[in-house]
Parts: sequence; structure tokens; C-alpha cells
Amino acid sequence: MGEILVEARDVKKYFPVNRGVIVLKHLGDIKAVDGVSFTIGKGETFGLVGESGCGKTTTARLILLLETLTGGTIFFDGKDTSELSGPELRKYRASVQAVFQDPYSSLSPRMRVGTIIAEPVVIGGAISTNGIKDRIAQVIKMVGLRRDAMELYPHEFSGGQRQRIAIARALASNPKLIILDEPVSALDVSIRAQIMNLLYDIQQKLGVSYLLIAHNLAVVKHMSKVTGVMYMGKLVEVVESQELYLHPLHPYTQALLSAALPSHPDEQREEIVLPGEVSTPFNPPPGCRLYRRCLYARPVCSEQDPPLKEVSSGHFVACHLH
Amino acid sequence: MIIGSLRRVTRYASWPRIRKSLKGVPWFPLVIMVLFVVVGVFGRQLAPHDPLKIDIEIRLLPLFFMKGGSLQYPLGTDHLGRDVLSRLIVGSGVSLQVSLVVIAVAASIGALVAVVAGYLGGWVDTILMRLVDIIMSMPWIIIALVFASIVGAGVRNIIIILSIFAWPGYARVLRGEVLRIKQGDFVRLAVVAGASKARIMLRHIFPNIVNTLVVISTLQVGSIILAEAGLSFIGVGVPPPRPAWGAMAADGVGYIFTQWWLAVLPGVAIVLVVMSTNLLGDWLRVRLDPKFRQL
Repeated sequence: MGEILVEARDVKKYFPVNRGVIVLKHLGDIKAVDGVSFTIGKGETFGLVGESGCGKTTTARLILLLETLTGGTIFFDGKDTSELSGPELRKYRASVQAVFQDPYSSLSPRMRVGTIIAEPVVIGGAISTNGIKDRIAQVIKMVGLRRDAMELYPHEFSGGQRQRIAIARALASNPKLIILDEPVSALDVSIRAQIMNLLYDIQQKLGVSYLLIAHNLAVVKHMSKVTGVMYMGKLVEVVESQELYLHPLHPYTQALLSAALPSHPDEQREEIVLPGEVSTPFNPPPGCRLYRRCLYARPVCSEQDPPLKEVSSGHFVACHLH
Repeated sequence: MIIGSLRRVTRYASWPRIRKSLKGVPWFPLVIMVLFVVVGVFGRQLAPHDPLKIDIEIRLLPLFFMKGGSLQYPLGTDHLGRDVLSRLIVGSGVSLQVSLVVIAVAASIGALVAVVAGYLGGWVDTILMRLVDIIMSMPWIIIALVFASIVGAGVRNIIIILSIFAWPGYARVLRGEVLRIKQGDFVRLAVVAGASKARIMLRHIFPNIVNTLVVISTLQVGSIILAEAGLSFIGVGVPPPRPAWGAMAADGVGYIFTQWWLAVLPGVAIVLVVMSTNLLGDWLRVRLDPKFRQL
């Protein structure tokens, strides 16, 4: 792995659950993210997969400083993000951008596309009006939109085009990291590949890092160098993407991969179905989070929370089996 | 920035664009409203007679087509012999002035409170919204009576009292809009881009409530005119002899069985104007939505 851009160290986010109107009684916490550590290299993509509600998006929001950390630290370019302020914070805001899932909700309906794309640059200051115009024209071309798109309103575009606008906006301030939170889930299947290829090309050209959050495992495999699998607020497996698909070690990862559609309809595969439901991350019991659903559960699994440890070179698993 | 918006305005103001933007406008309410505004502004110049001139000899003249009516006083005269047409024309000025000023004041305060309370939330929200609840639960007509008896009746005092009671309606409805809008991803992305709270409220939240603001305002024009007429009717509005539609209707009530038009004519004027603002407001709401705008 090359130079490190982002390092998350034991990151935690608990949402307190209270009862009462004036005197709050603390009932417990929803542990949305509970001790997650990973790194994102410069110019690389880190994939984050897992089912709905497992804490992927909360992790992204913590990096975007939309939520405050309950514990742990996130380092960006060697600096603690929770201590940024003033010009440093502004610089950070310009270097970390995001593309969200729903392209209909992520563009302000009453702003012209040019204004939407320019906003991060305008807020960042430092560039003249003409410089901003050139920059917008540049990114609009980069994402494959027509130049006159600048003058139009978002409702005049289709979903795929809107996502291109969102990407152009994310690129405008020349960021080092772009958080892609399910960037293609809301799009037509026929458009998905186009957008993913666009993102891939942009990365090749600009050397920007991605944090890619997705349901679609094929997308993550195609895009990311390293993939992390999350389950109930914890990273259960982190490994290079190719290796993850060839040799998944954690029981949850195995079940997740077996649930994905095969690339060919005739392909015969064994499908692993985990019994039971996902329990809630509200005041979780000690021990492995998967204990009650795991096919290989042993007594130790209900007592000790397995730490994420390196079982072979670059392959991290949080499981007592390994 | 300024030159750009100037250029945009001049481009918008070209004749074909104006004609296109008026496409589908409901003509009847528009004509009524234009008439209302023109008459309201130039009332004193347009009135055929002095609306205050009392002439007992010609009191209670009927409409021009009725027996004993004359074309010199086409809508007849009231119980003091004042020309009804002139009084209607000059009286529209009061309604226009009161409704425009009250709407401007109430909409500004209401929108400001709604955006600040809705976006910031927390104790700011609690305090402002409880204030709204308190004002909305007060009987405005009684407070207006007390207020008028302390500081006296008059157009300025009507404007003050109606503004105080009109803004909470804006604040409450618009706050709901703000709560919905601030959940949008585009607001989150503005935070990610480093936008300040003030910028988000001004550039992202406010433009998205303008629609609702316009709709409430046009509906309010009607109720403000009615409220002003009501206050004038019960005698705490515009002091006599200055003509106001509400006061004219009140004066005419005593003659309803013999000279019915004295009460009906100002009533018809109020109905036409209120109805027109509502219809135009509905049209404007559709026009202002960028989804329907094809410019």
C-alpha cells in the first residue's frame, strides 16, 4: 500500500436513547459504529459493504464531519479531523467531497446547475470569478455533460445526468477524497456501468481516493483495491478485494457473498442462509455480534468479542475460528 | 455577480418573454387586480366627485338605471349625500395599502422566524414556536379593540395590529416546510462543502420556501382585506369620514331594506378583490415552480 490519506482508528458513534421530556433518562445507546479501524491509501478505493443499517453510512458521515465522534480518531493527511478549525477546516471541506445515493434529493431544485457545481469552490474562496467559470466548464466536460448544462435547472435532467452533475460538483474543488455513498443504487441498471466507469476514469486521471459504499458486491469488486465488510457497527473482515471474493474467511462474509447473484444464471452455487434476524445494535450483548446467527458458533463466541486480527498477510478477520 | 443578474433581468424583460410568461394567466382576476391596484394608487385623481363632500339635498340617490337615478352619480349617494362611486374608488386605497404593508411585514417576519427556528432547532425553535402559539391563541379582534381604544383608530394602527397577528401563521406553516427541506441531501452536501449556517438558510432553505410563501401571501391578501373591513365595520378601523369598504358596508346596513346597494356594493368590491387574489395566487404557485417553468 502506498501513502495513507485517511486513517480511522477505533472509530465509534453511539446514538443515545433517552426517555422523558424534561429530565432525560438514559436508557442506553444504539452503537451504530463500534470500534472501526481502516486506512484509505492515496489514489485508492476502499470499499465498504454490508447490509442496511450496519453503520456504513454513519462511518461516511463521520468522515464528512456531519456527525461528531463518540470515540476514536480519524486522521486525514496525518491530522486529527476533530481538531480542525478555521482555515484548516475550510481546507478539509474542500478536500473531502461526497456523492450521495439519491440524485433527486442531492441537487437544490432552485439553483442552476452551474451554481450548484460552483458552490464548493465559491465557499473555498481563493479563485477569481473567471477561474471558477473555467473550472466549472472543465468538470462539466470531464463528467460528459454538455456545456450549456450550466444554465439549466436540475429538473431538466434525468437521474443518470443528475448523478453526473453531483459528481461534477464533488470534483470542482479538486478534492483528495470523495465519499461515494451508494452512488449507483438509485440508477437504472443500464446507467450504472456508465457512472462506475466514469468514476473509475476520473480516479485514473486525477488520483483521487474513494470511499465506496455499496450493496452491490460486483461494483465494489470492480472498483476497490481493499474491501471492508461491516456487520452491526463492526468491521468483520478487511482484505484486498480479489482475495475477499476468492477466500472469504468470516462466516458473515461467506453468507453475504453467497447471496449475491451469480454472473451466469446456470452457475450452480451453494447458498448459505443465516438463521434468524439481524438483532438491533441497541445495547448489544457482549461477545461476537453474529453469535446468535452464526453456523459455527462456539461457547467462546458469546463471551468474548473477537478482535480484528491479521490471519495472513493483509487479510484481517474478526472471528474466533481464525 | 451584479452585472450578471442585471443582464439576466434585461433578458427576462424582453417582450416575447413577458408574453410567454403570461401564458395561461387567468384574465378576469388579473384585470380585477390591475384595476384594484390602479384605482387604489390613483383613487383621488380618478374619483369623479369629492368623496367627503356632504350634500343632504341629494342623499340616498339610487343607481343610475333606477327611477330617480342620475348618470352624474352612477352608483347613487349615501345617507349624507356623498357619491358612492367616488367613495368606493378612494376606499380601495385603504384596502390596498393595508393589505400590501401587512403582507410585506408579516411575510418577512414569518419567513425569518420559520427559517431560523426550523433550521437551527433546539431552544431557539422552542422559544420562537411557543411565541407563535401564544399569539395564535389570542383573540385578535378583542386585542384590536383594546389597542384601538388606547392608541386610537387609524390606518397605521390597523397595520400594526394586523401584522402582529398575521406573521405567526406564516411562521408555523413555513417552519414545517423548512423541517422537510433541511432533510434533503443537498443541504447535507452544502455542509460538506463548508457552507455556513447563514449561507445554507439564505441560499438553500429560503429559495425553497418561496413557493409556499407566495401561496400563503395571496391567500392572506383576502383575509387581511376582510380583517381591515371587519375592523372598520365595527368602528375601530379607518376613522370617518375617510372612506373604507368595511365602514361603507357598516353604514349601509341600516338601509338594507330600502337602499340595499349601499351595503352590497362595497361587499361586492371586497368579494371580487379577495376572489381574484386567490385565483391569481393559485396560478402564480404553478408558475413559480421550476418544474412547470419552461423558459
